[in-house]
Amino acid sequence: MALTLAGVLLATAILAPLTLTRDDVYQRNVRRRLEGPSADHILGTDNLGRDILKRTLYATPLTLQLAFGAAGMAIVIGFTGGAVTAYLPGTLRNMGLRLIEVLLAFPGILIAIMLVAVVGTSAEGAVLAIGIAFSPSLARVAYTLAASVAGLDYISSARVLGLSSRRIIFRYIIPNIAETLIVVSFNATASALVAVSSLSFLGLGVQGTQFDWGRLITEGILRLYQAPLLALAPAAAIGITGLTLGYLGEALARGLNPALWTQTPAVQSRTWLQRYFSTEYMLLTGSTGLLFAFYFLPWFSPDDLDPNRTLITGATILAGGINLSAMTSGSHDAMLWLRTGAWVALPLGFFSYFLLRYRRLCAYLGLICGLGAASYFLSFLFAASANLGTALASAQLGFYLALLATILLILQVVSGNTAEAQSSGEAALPARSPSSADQTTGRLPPPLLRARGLTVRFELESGTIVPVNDINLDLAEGEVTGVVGESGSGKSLMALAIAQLVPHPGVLTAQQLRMRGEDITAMPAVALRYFLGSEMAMIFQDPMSSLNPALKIGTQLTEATRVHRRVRHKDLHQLALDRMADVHIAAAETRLRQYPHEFSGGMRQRAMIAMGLMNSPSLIIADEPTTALDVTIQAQIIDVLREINQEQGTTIMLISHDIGVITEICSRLLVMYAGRIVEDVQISELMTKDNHPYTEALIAAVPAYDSDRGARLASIPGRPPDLHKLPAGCAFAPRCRYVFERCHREAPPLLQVDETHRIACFLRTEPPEGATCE
Amino acid sequence: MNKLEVRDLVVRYGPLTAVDGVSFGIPAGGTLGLVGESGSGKSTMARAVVQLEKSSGGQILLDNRDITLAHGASLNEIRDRIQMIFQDPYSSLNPRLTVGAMIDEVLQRHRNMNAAQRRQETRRLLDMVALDPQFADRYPHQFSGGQRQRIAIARTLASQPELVILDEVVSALDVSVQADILNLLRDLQVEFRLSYLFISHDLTVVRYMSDSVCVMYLGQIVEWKETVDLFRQPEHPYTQGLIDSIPKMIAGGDPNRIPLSGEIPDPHFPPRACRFHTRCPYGPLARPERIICREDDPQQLIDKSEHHAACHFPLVRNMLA
Repeated sequence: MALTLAGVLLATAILAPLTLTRDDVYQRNVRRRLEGPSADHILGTDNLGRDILKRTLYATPLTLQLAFGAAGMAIVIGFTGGAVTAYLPGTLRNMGLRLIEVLLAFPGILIAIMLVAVVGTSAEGAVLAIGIAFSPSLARVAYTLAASVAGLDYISSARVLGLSSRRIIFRYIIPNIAETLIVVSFNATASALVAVSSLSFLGLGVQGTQFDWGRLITEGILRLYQAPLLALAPAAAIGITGLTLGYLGEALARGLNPALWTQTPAVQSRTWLQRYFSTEYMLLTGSTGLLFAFYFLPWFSPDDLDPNRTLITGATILAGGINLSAMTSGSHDAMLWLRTGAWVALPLGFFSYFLLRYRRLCAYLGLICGLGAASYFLSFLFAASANLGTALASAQLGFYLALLATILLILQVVSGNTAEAQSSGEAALPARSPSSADQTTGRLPPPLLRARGLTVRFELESGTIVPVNDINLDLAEGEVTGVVGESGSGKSLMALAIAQLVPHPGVLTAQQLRMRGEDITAMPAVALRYFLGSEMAMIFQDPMSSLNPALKIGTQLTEATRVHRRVRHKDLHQLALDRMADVHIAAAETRLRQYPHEFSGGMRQRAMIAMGLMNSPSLIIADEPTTALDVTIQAQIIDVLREINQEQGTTIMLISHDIGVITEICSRLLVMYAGRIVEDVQISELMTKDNHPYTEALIAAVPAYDSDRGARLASIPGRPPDLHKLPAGCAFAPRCRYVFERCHREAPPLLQVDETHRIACFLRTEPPEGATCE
Repeated sequence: MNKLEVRDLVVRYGPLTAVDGVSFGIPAGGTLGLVGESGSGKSTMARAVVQLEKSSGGQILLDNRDITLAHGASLNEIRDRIQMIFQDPYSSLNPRLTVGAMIDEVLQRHRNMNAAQRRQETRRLLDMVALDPQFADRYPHQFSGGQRQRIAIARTLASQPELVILDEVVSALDVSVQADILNLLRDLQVEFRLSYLFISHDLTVVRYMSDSVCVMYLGQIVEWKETVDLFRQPEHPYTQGLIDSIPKMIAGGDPNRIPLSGEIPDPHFPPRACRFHTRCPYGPLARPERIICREDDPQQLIDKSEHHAACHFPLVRNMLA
């Protein structure tokens, strides 16, 4: 695809001047001016009766020369400057970097216009100006790449292996940054194309009788209503060329990276929008998409339409729409204005998203966002009629309108918006359902959590996989259950499934998933969020990525409670202080005012637990909560969890790869393998009962603190099975030391062998004759 | 005679002293374990030994030869003999080279062989770490974590090192794979009489691998002893705290353990005198009369023969008293 497009482009550039005579493109024929498309003139004629298509094609080589010249200059200056800066000694490096950053602060095109004024308006001047103006951004990229690669482990190991510097540069550093450099270079070329055209469009580039696409647009824009193709044809040429350059860059980069060779071409073609022709557009599309994903998708459900959200959602769509039309618009100046509009709308959208997610300001900021965007949209209309003055004026109008709205908004907020904020958001919430305990009077209380047939399925291009397969599980109130298994056994996904958080494109099905007797699969979205928010808390391995780095710990701690319950600010603060005390964070008052980065890893994990405790949940699911921590801190966190369980009766599900951690705190152990529970056993009875061979192997593989140092560790041969092709019988059979014939034929069901012990193994449930149970 | 001898090694990054006067030795064919919390300076020290960091003081001796300031040809020679394997098998292999090319370039650099010999040697090395020699044509992303760590080991063996620094080599692996790698490392040690400096935050793994263990805290060694003695009779309260933090596979946890409170202080501002006194369950926090811990640095105590811990009140003596 990319190569075909590039081939066509190159052929045009070479063939156009060879096949077209000067007469074809310069000979005037006033009688046939401004004609529409016809057999003679496929795209019609211009105001002097010349063929538009031929003129556009004829301009190809000059435009490309200018673009490549400018880009080549920017690349050479930028990459050399950046790479050299990265290897300068300390102070010089810092100074160089600051210089690059200062230059970066000015928009490239402005610098270019300024430079053109200095070197004189000509094609060469434009190339020179853009080459210099675009180099700082490339220098910054090269600097970052060079600096980041130099610090990687494989560079360190190459140095330890004593390889020469030349070898390290040519075989380790360059191949690993080449991919990015190529993509960046081609994007820079696309941007240079737009910039060169812009200069020509403004009359600062190509002069005299020469013409490039930018100049063609200048001629066309004046007659946009009589002969739209006059401007659209060169604009489309710019668009297509930019697209080709983007494609080509990605294709070349892909060819360099062995990790991407195996990917199917389908992946390539699906994301054509992202490949649109310059970094800026990618950035715009990306951020619009992000804004959508962030805000719009998770919140949009029919029963969840409160006015604030609708407004901001509208603004988001507007930003996205403007952006999209800017991208697909053919006319160059329209792109310029629309692009500006998108740039204004987007940050506003983001800004409002972050603020509005929590406050009532939503509506007002959404309004500003819309106003700003709309005024820029208007400015585009004026611009289309080539009245630049009007366009600028309308853009300014939009700016002042937005400013005015901001001031009004601030006044509004200061004068008691808070009261309003408190009362909002409560209406949609259902009353807390009464505990189901009274339904079961005289019988054992129902388990806190009951799952039957819990299954998560992923339909992937490579086939269907079932990483969580038919899980049956009861968690009793106050029980501490551990879940263990190798990576890929489905333990984390099972926890996410219980919390209804299965990532896309996974599909969760269950015959039954009840918490406190309530069927949580059947709840409407809002009720479910409320219910899970108050009944369940999840703690993840990496507290840094689970905490929002931009908000104070105190704000994050009280966030969920503010949403889920009607609590006064003072009480809320006290509650936060109490929870901080529960997890033994000293100086809680100060700590609440700090940001996550001011916390150490252990402290962040404590804060996460405190956050989970805020709504007094009945179930805490902790997914590898101590894996990223030092042993000493791990011991402290385990103590905190144990205390919470003992003092508040909270049920805990602890997922860990470390069976030692689980035995420390849990009363019950679930062992998972290839998406199924293979054993469910009380910790106190572990190793005294006949365990599943996999459980046995997991325990034997870990050196204990008192094991015999001379003995070899018992490893588990083989690897966990590929979920795409599970064996027909027991999934563990290929690695099992006790395997017998039946294991390969049938999958063993998870059977209850006594009151507290379930196991899925023929050896333990129906041992074959002559088999030895050790 | 020790294969590696480190004396009073100091490594500074600007105002931060990451390694502050560390001394230890590793006998030929032996393993020294190195434990401590993150921020204790373990990895920095290891990187200084292989000259990835510049040391600011002290001496590093390989077979009694000072290699502290080695450069040029002598640095190359050291790189034949000291090797390092890193924690993350996903980032320590160049993604753009096949496994064969990776090993081949080490052979080119370190061994005098022609192309055919190198190809054969590559296959032999892969076989030695229990990988299919066919894998030589594949790229790192086609392997699992355990296999990648085997590749890193094979590449290391290609230069025929005498001392290998293992920096958290099994931390990123599943337990089942971890056992395989640990077994492999022990086999290779016996076969080639390798010396290991084994760094890990996992005490049970260090105990399994090492002959003796150094415990580091805030850039200093606080205890250094035979592995068996260290685990049976820790002298430094920090060592005891670390050991007590190991999950013991006892349901409900070990009731007798004394947990360490608090966290490792900011290494930019280490506490004065005994650096551990701010967390020590036997120090001035618990017993105000022990002001000596706040005033007198116990570092020099570790050199005396029957003392293995840098502590004014080592635990064994406590028990006798």
